Amino acid sequence: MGESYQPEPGGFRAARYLVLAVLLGLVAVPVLALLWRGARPELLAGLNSPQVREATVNSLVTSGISALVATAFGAGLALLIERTDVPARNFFRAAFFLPFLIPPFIGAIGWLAVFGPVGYVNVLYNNATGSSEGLVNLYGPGGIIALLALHAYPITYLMTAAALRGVPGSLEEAARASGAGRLRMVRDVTLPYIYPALLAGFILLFVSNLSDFGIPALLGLPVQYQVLPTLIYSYLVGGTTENPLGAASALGTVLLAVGAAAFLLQRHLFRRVSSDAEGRAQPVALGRSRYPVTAMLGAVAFLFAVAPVLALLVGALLRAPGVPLTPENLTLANIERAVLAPATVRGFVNSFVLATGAALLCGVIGALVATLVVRTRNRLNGSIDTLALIPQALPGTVVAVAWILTGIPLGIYNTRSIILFAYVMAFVALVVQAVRGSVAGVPVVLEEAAQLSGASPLRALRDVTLPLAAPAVVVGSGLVFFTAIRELTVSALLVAPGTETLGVVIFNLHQAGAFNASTALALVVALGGLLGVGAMALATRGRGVYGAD
Amino acid sequence: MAQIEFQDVSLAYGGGGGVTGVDLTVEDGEFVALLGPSGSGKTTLLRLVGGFLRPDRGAVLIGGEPVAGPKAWVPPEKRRLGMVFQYHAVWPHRSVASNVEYPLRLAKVGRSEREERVREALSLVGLEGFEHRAPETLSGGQRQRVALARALVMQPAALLLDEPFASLDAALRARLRAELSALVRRTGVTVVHVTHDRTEALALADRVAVLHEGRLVQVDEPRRLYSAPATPFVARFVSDAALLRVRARGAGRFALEGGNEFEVENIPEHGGSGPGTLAVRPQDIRLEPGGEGRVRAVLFMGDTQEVVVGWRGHELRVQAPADARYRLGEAVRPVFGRGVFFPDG
Amino acid sequence: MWRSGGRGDGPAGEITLYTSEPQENADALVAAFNEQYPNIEVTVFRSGTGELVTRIESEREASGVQADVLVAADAPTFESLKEEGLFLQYTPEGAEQIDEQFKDPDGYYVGTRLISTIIGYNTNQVDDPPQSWQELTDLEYRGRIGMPSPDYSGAAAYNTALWASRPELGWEWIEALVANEPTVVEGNGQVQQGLASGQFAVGILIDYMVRDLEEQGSPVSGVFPEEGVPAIFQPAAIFENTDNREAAERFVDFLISEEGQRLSVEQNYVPIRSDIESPEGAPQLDEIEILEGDLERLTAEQDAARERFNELLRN
Repeated sequence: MGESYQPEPGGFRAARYLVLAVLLGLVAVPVLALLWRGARPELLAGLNSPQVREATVNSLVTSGISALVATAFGAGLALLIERTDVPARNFFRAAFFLPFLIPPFIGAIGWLAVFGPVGYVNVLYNNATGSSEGLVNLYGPGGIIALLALHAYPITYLMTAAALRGVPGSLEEAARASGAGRLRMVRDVTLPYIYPALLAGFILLFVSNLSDFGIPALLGLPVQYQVLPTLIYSYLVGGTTENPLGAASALGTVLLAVGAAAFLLQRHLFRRVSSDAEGRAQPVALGRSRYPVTAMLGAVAFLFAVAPVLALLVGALLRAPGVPLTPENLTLANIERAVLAPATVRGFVNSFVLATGAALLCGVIGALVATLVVRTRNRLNGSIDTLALIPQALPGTVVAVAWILTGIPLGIYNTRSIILFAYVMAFVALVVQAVRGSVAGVPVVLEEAAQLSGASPLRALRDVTLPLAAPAVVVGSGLVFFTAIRELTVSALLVAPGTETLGVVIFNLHQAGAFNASTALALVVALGGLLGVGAMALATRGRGVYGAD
Repeated sequence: MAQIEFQDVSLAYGGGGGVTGVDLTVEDGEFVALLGPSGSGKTTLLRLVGGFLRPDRGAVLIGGEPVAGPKAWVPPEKRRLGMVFQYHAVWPHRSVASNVEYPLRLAKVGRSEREERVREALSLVGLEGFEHRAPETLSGGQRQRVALARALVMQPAALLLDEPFASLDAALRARLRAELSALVRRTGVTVVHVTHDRTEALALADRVAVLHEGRLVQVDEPRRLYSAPATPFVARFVSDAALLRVRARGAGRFALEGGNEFEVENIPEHGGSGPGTLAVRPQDIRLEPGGEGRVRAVLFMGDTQEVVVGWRGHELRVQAPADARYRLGEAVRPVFGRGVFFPDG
Repeated sequence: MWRSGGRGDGPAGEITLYTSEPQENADALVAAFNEQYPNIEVTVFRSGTGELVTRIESEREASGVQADVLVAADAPTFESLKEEGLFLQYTPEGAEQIDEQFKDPDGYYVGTRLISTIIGYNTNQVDDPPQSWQELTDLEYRGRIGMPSPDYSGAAAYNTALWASRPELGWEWIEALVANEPTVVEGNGQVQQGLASGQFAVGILIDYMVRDLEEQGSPVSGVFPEEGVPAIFQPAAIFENTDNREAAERFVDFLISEEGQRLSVEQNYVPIRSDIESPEGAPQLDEIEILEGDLERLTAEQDAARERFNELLRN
């Protein structure tokens, strides 16, 4: 097949080799280092211990069930909010999106304040019954599954909502005209249309829940319930094994294999059903159940979005634990002390510097990758795309272990650079995905028109595509920033004296039992995240940044 | 202004749309339409001129200079062409004036001259005073005029039009078509216009080049194309002719497969005898009462009506006067006034 | 940068402190130290004792220990690091004020304060608190006790071995305690929270945590049991490969200096020097009855004791 496009100008070639070299260094080298160190028969054989088997089963169980729950809940919620005549739709959209804006481990601290052994619910129950066994036990697999699902369902919601927008109204009307009732129509026409999105969403959530460290660390470790990321953490940080790096590498290899398999599966499955049919789908009338459904949604939204933040707020404001909740016992002193503590300040500065660096690097690399992949044809493009996207399927723990192995010989272990590189590796896909759609959305003819006007291809890119794709680059980089500044999983394994990130500071405070400080900081991070991401979402409204497409 | 020449141009293309051995010269100041169904290679030819594709074989010349060929390559930005795309490629992040002045800016034309020429170009397309408007505030037709102004502002060697009216509604399409015709005659620019709409091609072009499966099948003036198609394909595509497999018996007599004979009153070119294809345009068939034909559908078109007649295992489309009345199932006899016979081989 | 007169003198440079102290206390310590030595920059790395040891071991193998000073929980840990030759011998200024039992006879480490494990109780729930470890096995407290897990708290593991080794308590008492259905939580912090919130009526935890809460107004108070208390003296040591020995020595000096010890008192610790007054509500150092044990034996038995305790819990 001789597709003789116009010859490519040198600028593209140089950019392609540059990007490829950078990605090889940032992605391929660490992954290969991990495989080289971890994929050894004797190490992998060592994995066949009861401890590893148990952690593996626990990982699969918690991430599998939580992904299932999140998918079902997110999809159901999307159908309810997007496709029925439920009132206050925008309010519900925002309220149910909130758990996504709070980092999972922060959310876990908040939920512990509600349902933990000394959380409000159990304390009320204990005071009423005189028991010291709580009503709800958040520790262990149940709590882990619940919280993983809670923090994951907004992704399903967004993917489902996007897929629902793609269901042509005419197809649904055709079903109604053929005699199908409302529910029947949803089952026979609407759902089959969004199944691929649901399946893809499930796999995505499975991998992301498999990767999460914060929730199982906070809710599993206290009851010795280990999953793979926490097991790797206890190998590397807790020193619970003879050859920590070897064991962590072997476990990392296993996680890497699971993540990569899911990535490929998802790529394979995510083929959209398409149709030329058109028209906006009409909302389904809820009829008599409209108000009960609304009340129920409101209650759940309150529980999900408001309760943990409220619990954090009360916990942070209360002068001391156990004192009654009266105005004179409320103080800002705890928050002030926690926020101004030198460790917090250092953690914030580190996280800020790292997040800014990661956002800038990811912005540049991601924009280049997206532009090259969308706008040029070259046999290297596939490799570039895969290199940039595959880390997204890799659990943060894997990224961290890979960078420990890469960083030690490079002499950057125990420095901030190693965290920065790991962040860029882990998050560059966020920018690539945000920008790719945006560049693809700029019709090629716009560039061609510029070329015929006398602009070189690079100039056309600069004058036409770049300005049009710039908001997506900004949004993608902003996402990287907000993800990185509150990150825990990767940095938990990479921090050294002086390079602690904000997430690690909060996590350590919690682990050390300094709940006063960890609660106060969790509150600040949760509110900061809500404000920051909320502002960004408002500023880029309608661009489908968080959308799956 | 310049001549455009294709010399034995070939380009293989995955999944249709390639071209094979195209030889075509568009004269300086001429308006040539490239007509064909989708996948026929017409857009490929246009993009070869634009420089967005490079031929596997042969050469493309603009103004006598090779711009693409075995040894030559001139990138799109150096070809001095103007182009208007199907989906108005007006840059949404630039104002109307800034869209139109972009080529001038790249050519480093001074500011005051730029302003002057932008104003001229906008007035040429009837958009005086729209300089500071944002493209999203314009209608589809207005955006297409902006694109046209931008294409013309540099006084290009040639104007390339890629289905420029396809995304507009019928009434607007007709008006813009007339405006475009007047405009290009006035400026004298060489135009290559790609379209799958035969009415548009016939109405606008000095000559129409019909493409079929990547090959040029006929290049001719619209009237000749209409009256003397070179192949059955052209006859059907350009004038909606019915194609009948027949054996010519001489003196205007033909036999259908199966032996039934019939007569055609006027055969312009006696292409010989033996097996072949007879093309008959709807307006060259009359219907008389009684006979073997059966009326299957009647479509009222305003000044005429289209009657679909089943006749000896064939379906004929007949253009009948608007005042005649036909009932479904009515027996009619088609009379063939004129036909073009294409002997096999 | 211009500095005000005299402040520019004195030892300078950077040192790194590995500590299991609560972050807030460690930060206050460094701030107070910097009052005296403004040119020494102290980087604090806080973590659990076990995690610190892991870090020290892996750094030693990779590129050498990054820290200069270690201030962490218990003597057994320091003993084993000392055996590995990781520490410098150093006798800080003022060490003569510290009783022999709170410092290494070979001079590799020195105690900084006394941390006792005591009985805490919620004052809303308990009017007549238990005065001895034995009383914790009373039926009255069944299902109402909180205690830290020896799996997570090094101090708890040490305590278990110590209780087991004491003739007046022994495994008999531990079995009775477990039979009284205590809730075993991760660490002292969780016991503290549980006590304050009323989840537990009584709890086994570290003394200064009780005083902290009491001071802040939580409904919590504490008892030093009659039999005596398990106590650790939070040693400090200087790493052998320190690249700023002088600054590290000044830091350790400061820890046991009068100012350093007064800061400990402010943080509700019992000071390691008997010439400094204990914080309000706490006994003086020499009034505290310490449960004695053979350090070497306890270190050796700690793992077995932890296992046996977990075994009891499971049954």
